[in-house]
Amino acid sequence: MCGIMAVAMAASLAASASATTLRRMGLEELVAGNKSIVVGQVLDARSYWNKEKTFILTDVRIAVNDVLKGNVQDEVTVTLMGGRVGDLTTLIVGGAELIPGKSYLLFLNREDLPGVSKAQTVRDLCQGAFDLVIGKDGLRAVSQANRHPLIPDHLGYIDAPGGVEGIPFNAMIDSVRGLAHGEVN
Amino acid sequence: MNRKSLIAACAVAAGMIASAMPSHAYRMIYNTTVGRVSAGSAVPCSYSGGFAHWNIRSINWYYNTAGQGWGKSTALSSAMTAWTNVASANHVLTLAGTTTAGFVTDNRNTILWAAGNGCTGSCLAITALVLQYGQVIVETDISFNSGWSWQTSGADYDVQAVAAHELGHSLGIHHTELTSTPRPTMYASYFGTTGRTLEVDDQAALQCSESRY
Repeated sequence: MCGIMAVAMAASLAASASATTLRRMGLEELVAGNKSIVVGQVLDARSYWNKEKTFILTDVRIAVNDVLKGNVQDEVTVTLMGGRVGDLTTLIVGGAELIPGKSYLLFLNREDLPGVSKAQTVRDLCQGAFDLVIGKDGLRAVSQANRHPLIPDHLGYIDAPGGVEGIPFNAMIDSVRGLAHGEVN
Repeated sequence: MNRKSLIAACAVAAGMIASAMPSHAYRMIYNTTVGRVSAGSAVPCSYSGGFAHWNIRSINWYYNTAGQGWGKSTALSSAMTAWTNVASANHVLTLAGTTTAGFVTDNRNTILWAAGNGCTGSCLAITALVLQYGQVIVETDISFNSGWSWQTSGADYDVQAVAAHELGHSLGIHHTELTSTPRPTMYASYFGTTGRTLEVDDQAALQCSESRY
């Protein structure tokens, strides 16, 4: 027990790293605040200047494996702020990181980005992206916000949903589906 | 092990972990990979891959007075002065004037208040770094979420404290891993007006950056 506490403390200390200032969002808030929630694998990513050439954006193409909320096709393109064009890189501190070949659970919404109106994006930045990782007890969904400590929410909670260990994938799916359908889990 | 022993053992373990933390635990922003969106990793100043940094000392800022930007110049200037006054570091941050520019790549460092720019909902403020080869920062912009109430009176959310924090990011400094009090400005969570004042750990981060580049 003590070992678990010590490890947990060490893990929480080591996880402190971030930037952009974000208030913590619980799962309920993430589900309620986003129009679409999907599980998918990143096919590729392409960075480009927006039409006005004022900001670098990146379109991330995602093969959708499961739709937990919303009306989403088999493939969706998510636009993120930042990326690299030529020798110029725009880095969004605290943004979601989507790497080709990897799978994620994503909370998506349409938002205005620089030079683009109502783009499908990960509105809540790192809080809206969960890495799917193999744990000792199977697949788990781990919030990218664990790398980006958060301002406490209205209940005083500060850890991203699931903490550094994440949430068992099936439990996460059930919770999200339940919340999306207005049930209380 | 009985309950008292368990608590004592845990306290010792916690103490060991705490004492193992360095007195300086600042981290720098490393642009992880070429060719994909990067949120920036946290690395020590001695990291072999380097980190985001300026190669000029004088950094001029402009702020957009639209919306909640009105009346915030003193708070923003004070936040810049805190970084300018770091001993043994030569960066000079200046609030050079106002602008109507937005969150755009235009060779101008801009602070603005807006609803959007990728910072809505739970996001209070967002910082973008524009980097050239070698992780040289050539521009940075900060967008405060106008969906929140921004104050200069000491009430939440305090403009000067958050600006000091975001300006630290604009200098290539990531969040500190130091959790003890007094909390550094680059601590990863908002803790009120105390964040207006830079602590030794914050100052050491900028000093280390300048000694390396």
